[in-house]
Amino acid sequence: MFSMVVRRLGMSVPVLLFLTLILFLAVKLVPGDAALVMAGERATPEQVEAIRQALRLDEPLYVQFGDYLRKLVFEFDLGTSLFHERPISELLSTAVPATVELGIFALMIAIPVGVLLGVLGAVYRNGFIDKLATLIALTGVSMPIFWLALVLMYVFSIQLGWLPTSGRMSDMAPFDPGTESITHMYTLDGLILGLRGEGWEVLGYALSHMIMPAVALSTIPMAHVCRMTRSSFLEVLSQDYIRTARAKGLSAWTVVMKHAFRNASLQIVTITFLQAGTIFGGAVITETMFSWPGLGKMLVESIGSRDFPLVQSGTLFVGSVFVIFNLMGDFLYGVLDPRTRHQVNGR
Amino acid sequence: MQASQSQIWTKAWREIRGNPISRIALWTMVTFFGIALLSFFWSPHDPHRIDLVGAKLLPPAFLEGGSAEYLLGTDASGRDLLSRLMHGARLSLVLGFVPVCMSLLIGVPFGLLAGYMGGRVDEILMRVNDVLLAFPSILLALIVVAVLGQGVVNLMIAVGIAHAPSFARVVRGAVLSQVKQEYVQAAVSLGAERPRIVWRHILPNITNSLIVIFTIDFASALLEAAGLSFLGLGVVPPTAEWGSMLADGKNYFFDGWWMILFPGICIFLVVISLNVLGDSLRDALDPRASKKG
Repeated sequence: MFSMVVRRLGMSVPVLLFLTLILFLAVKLVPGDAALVMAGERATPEQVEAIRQALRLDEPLYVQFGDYLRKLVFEFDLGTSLFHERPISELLSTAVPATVELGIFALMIAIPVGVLLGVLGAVYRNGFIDKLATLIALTGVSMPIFWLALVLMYVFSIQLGWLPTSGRMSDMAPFDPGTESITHMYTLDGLILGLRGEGWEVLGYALSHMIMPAVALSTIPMAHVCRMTRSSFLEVLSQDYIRTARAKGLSAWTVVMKHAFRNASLQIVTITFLQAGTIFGGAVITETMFSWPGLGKMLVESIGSRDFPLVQSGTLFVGSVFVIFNLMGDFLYGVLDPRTRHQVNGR
Repeated sequence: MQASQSQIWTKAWREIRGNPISRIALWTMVTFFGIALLSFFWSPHDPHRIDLVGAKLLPPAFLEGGSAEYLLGTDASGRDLLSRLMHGARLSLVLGFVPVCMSLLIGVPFGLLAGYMGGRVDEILMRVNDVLLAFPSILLALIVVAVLGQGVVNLMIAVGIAHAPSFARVVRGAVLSQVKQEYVQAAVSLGAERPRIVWRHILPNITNSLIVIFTIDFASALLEAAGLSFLGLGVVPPTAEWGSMLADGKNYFFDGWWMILFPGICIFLVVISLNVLGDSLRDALDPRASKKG
């Protein structure tokens, strides 16, 4: 097991290097001159030339790449955004918490609902409840998030007026996110303020902004968790030891909760790690829909504004995170099922 | 051992016929394909004809203020929504279908190579594949669009590349399970060449898995392409496509909700039907996998 961990970690270094190179080259392939974009439309040729010199855009590609890699590894310098004119690491430091916060809330909806539907489906196999759970899961994967977001906004914001349409914080809140935010996760900030005795208003505002994006983002992971829980419970319920437990006279629910659940829970964590990429894909659309200032929205905008350094470093960041998540998912799989420990690499 | 093509389809057809929900899904798909074909010959109006004076934001015919001339109402430029949906069906289905064919053509050779060669080749190919799989496919598509620029063709390339890794993985797994089978061993011992074994023996035996994953990826490719168009990174506005029609409609929440409702329902119906069909094909053709899923 340990040797596998080391081996896989060793393997991910060239993989990450490869990813860095591919992204670097991809951005270089973009038609258009980075210096020209940076200088703006009204710049004189001299200004453009000055920027080109400063960024060493005239050097051969391998020199540029070496430079980029050196800054990345030794100084954690991801470059500077052309559009925002700020260091990219600074932009990430506020965007990442926003995305993580949204993702956590989405999972807090997806996992309990998915597990409940999956368990009910397995216990009442092929019955009405099972069919209903399957239908809900199917709807979850088939629903276009951007459409669901629009429908939610129409019903809950425009018609009923219960929830704010977009953003993370209300202007009316006694809280300036730009300067006062402690964690950059506003619900957490709100909780801290509340516990300090400064009132729960901020938490309330943060939560009201959170509900619709979190629901929209939760649909796909919910469906996956539901399907996985159902099949894993079905498998467990047909095992001999469950039959033994039932024969001992334990009630059906005790059996399900004590035996089957423990078996399924690690699998749910694993699938969540392996599905992290899909969840982030959903976050790209959800954030754009609800003007949620996270990583996904930032990347979409950076493509629109041809902000190449941000496209490159932002994607590299996301890619690296998912390589690591995938690795963690694989490890958990090994822990979960000893049979796969030696097979994780394929055989 | 080797199942013939006609047996595969008979099996698939029996499964779909036996399940009422799959039957509905099949009919829904047939209907949408029919509508898309029909739009080549006929639609109630010209989907691009703008009428800002007489027909701007008319509600559907069954609502007050609607006109029988425009069954599902009109958009903010006075274009007939039904005609646009019909023409949009064409492009939206193509935007799902063509990329999956591309993924198939890219992913299958890589999967065959990895699975059959094994060893180092397999290790390297699958590591790269894992990275691509771990990567959110919409992000992969975004990068491709960023590099190539927006437009229908680039959108299809982007989605096609983004979905290739999942084909490679499935094919590799299927090949690995086939390589150990007796019929492959027999072919090897009879002196058959490697490419011939792969082409004549292994490929026909993994058709089942390919049909299943093709159907399911068709659904997700269509969803993704519509999403990218919605974000303004694919189909350019005047062209009728469901995703871009939704993007168009989102600015008319108050006075034109039908512009949002109908394209969304179309996307949803097609995607859910493909997913239902994919599930029943899996039950029929790939029983090993269906126990898990």
